[in-house]
Amino acid sequence: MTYYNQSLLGLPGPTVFYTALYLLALVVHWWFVSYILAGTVYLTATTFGRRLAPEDPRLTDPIRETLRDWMPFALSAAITAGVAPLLFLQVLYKRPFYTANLLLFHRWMAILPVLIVGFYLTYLLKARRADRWRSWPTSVIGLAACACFGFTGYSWSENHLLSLDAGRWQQIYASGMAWHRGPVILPRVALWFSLAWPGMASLLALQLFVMKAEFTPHRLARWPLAGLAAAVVASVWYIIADRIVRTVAMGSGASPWLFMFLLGVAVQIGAWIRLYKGHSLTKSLAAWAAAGFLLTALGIAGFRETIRVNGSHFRVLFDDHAQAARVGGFCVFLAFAGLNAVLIALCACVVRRGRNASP
Amino acid sequence: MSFPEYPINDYGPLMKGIVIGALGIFHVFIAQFAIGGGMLMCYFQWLAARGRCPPARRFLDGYFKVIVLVSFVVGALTGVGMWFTAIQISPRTIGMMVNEFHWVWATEWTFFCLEIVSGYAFYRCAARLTDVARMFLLVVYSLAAWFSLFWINGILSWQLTPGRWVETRDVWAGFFNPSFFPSLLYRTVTSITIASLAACVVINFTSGLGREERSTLVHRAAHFLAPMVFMPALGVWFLWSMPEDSRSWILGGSPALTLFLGLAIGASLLIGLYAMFGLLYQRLYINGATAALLVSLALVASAGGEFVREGARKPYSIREVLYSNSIAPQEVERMRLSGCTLNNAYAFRGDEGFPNPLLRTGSGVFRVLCSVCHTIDGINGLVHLAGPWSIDQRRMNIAKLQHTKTFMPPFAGSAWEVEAVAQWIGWNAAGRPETWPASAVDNETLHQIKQWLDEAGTMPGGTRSKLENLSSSP
Repeated sequence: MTYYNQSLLGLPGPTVFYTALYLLALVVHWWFVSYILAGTVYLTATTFGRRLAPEDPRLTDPIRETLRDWMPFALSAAITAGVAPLLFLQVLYKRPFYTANLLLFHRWMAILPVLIVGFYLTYLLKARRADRWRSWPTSVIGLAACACFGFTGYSWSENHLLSLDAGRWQQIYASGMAWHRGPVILPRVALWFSLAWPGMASLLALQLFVMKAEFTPHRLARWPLAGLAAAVVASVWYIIADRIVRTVAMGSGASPWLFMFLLGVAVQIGAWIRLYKGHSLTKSLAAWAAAGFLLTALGIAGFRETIRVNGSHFRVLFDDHAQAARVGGFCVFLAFAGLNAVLIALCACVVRRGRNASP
Repeated sequence: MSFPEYPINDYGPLMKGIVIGALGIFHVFIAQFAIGGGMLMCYFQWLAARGRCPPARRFLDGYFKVIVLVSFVVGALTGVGMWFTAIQISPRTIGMMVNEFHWVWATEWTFFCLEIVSGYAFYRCAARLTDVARMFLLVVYSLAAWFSLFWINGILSWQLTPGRWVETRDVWAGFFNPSFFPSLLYRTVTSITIASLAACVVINFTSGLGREERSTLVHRAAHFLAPMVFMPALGVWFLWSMPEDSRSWILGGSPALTLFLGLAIGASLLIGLYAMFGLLYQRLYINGATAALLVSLALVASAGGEFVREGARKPYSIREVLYSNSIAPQEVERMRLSGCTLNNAYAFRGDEGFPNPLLRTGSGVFRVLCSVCHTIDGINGLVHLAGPWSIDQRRMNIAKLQHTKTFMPPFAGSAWEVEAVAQWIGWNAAGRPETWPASAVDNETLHQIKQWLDEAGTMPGGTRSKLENLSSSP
């Protein structure tokens, strides 16, 4: 295959349909994952090696406290939101995804116990009594949580890249090695990790706005700005590191996604710079930051899929997608999705009203 | 449709079915605890709001914390783990399930979202909410949790009794299959029972409660054990909804399945008797240790029941559609000619040090056809099952596999591969010596094996008419 100009929109209808659902679900999942990934690193970094005195301002810092308080819920949300892209991933890329799972075997399955440990560590990070502990236990808990989530993220990248590398499947299977290396894996992980910072900050900004929390704006803004700068560097590294990525990036199929990515980055930079310069957090600033992040995430996710659909073994899956699209149940899904969205909104209203009414 | 090849991993002495079974039991138990827990909490909230049970509110908040810490963490992740494990064990089965029911799964996912939001809303804010608001969140949580059971139950029961789906391929014909309702109701009662027993444990470990308060709470929680009286009837209904051959294995045809059924019934009976006479009739107090013991018994009952449900599907992973080894019935005939290892990219794994190519082929046949349910010499090991047989016995019993044991699928390979796996079992039973005399197969032996394969046919065994036909053949 020498041309890498296949656009996602040029694919057959069922494939486009499932890809669109997959991308939307993935972006929502990724938003919560960003909160976990960058949030845990932030919590660990701000208290690493230091025991906080009762009067330490960090104990009342709304950024740190909000992250700490919401971390377990965010992880729950990330896992629940992750079920949807995992489902559509199986509809779209059954054979490559399953094969990568099987080849990585226990290395891949290890993400489950690791995530369970990580989940409980977020509860430990949240516990009030942790403030009274000496510095090393909290540092160890923080580092361990970072390691758990970092390992999970790395494993997903490894799995994804292996699923694209059909030419090596048999060789890896015969050798019995349960891992996959390549020139793209590190820049790819670096890119996603860099983007986790604006993702975390945009979700946090929405929370802080809703909670009407008082905080120093530039202390929040510096993290996503640093993350975006790192993301630009990592994306250049990513493109340089692999010939196929480079070729796809230069083809017409990837242009709309790269444009979306760059536009999202620009919108975010604009929003965060205003906050960094001391502008207070307004509804529109929080919304711009969030919209910018979602645009960036959708752009990079779309680019990722463009690379995948330009793979030589992708076309054989079109029939599977068409067959899946003929299966019934979509209307029932839509009806219950709508009903449950209303119930979720009602839950939020009930809680809000209860909170406002309480003294 | 061509046979999709996937890498096949080696689990050593551990049977693959045990791996997925163990995780499945753990996940089902925790998930059912959360489902029944929602209903139980609605009851306690109602008691608290009406002032009928003063300590109910304190218990309620403690109980919900347990649900959040156990079910929202381990339950959620083992749920995802079930998908990953199913991929490891039988990618083709889970792939087909996703293809057919992805919208059902997507619908279930919307209920997961509702469950998480309502659950965390209660967990974080219940202390500040009115009784009406608390009840609203708990009812929403309970409904969401129960509906997640409703959806997944349809998919799981379809594997055993696909019903009219086999002819129509209509998703709802498959979803509302013959075992859907008995299975759903049985699981609902099980969920309520587990929640009630877990409540007795939590009550004993909730600090600040006096003996009188604990006693009051225990007897209120015990009301949720009363639906257990319906379990025998629901169990019988479930058994009768099964295909006849599956039922016959459970009821004596397969000693292991009968044993597991006995375990499930016995453990449930012990819980039921204690609940009816001890807790409900004599109003005995139950301490933490006894409550924990009853929860353990419930886990044993669940384990037995899940093993029976999984085992009853044999020789299929999806009845009428896919055998346990992921081969479709219509593919067997073709594989009898082409073999199962020759064109399979994942039948062999590097140089495994076999004395000759025949044994290497045998190991490939084991990997492709047998390894999903058998090990070499571990749990359900072929060396233990077929090692002591003579070579001719092995040849014939493997060639006529679906009639040797009616819960086995027909052998989906060539005569040469029957010989290869028969020799390979013998070689393993002999302690894997460095040399092995049989390296080539004479035509006469191959001809005999071919004849046995033809006699066995390519259809599954187990029905009376087929067995009769076979016995009447010369």
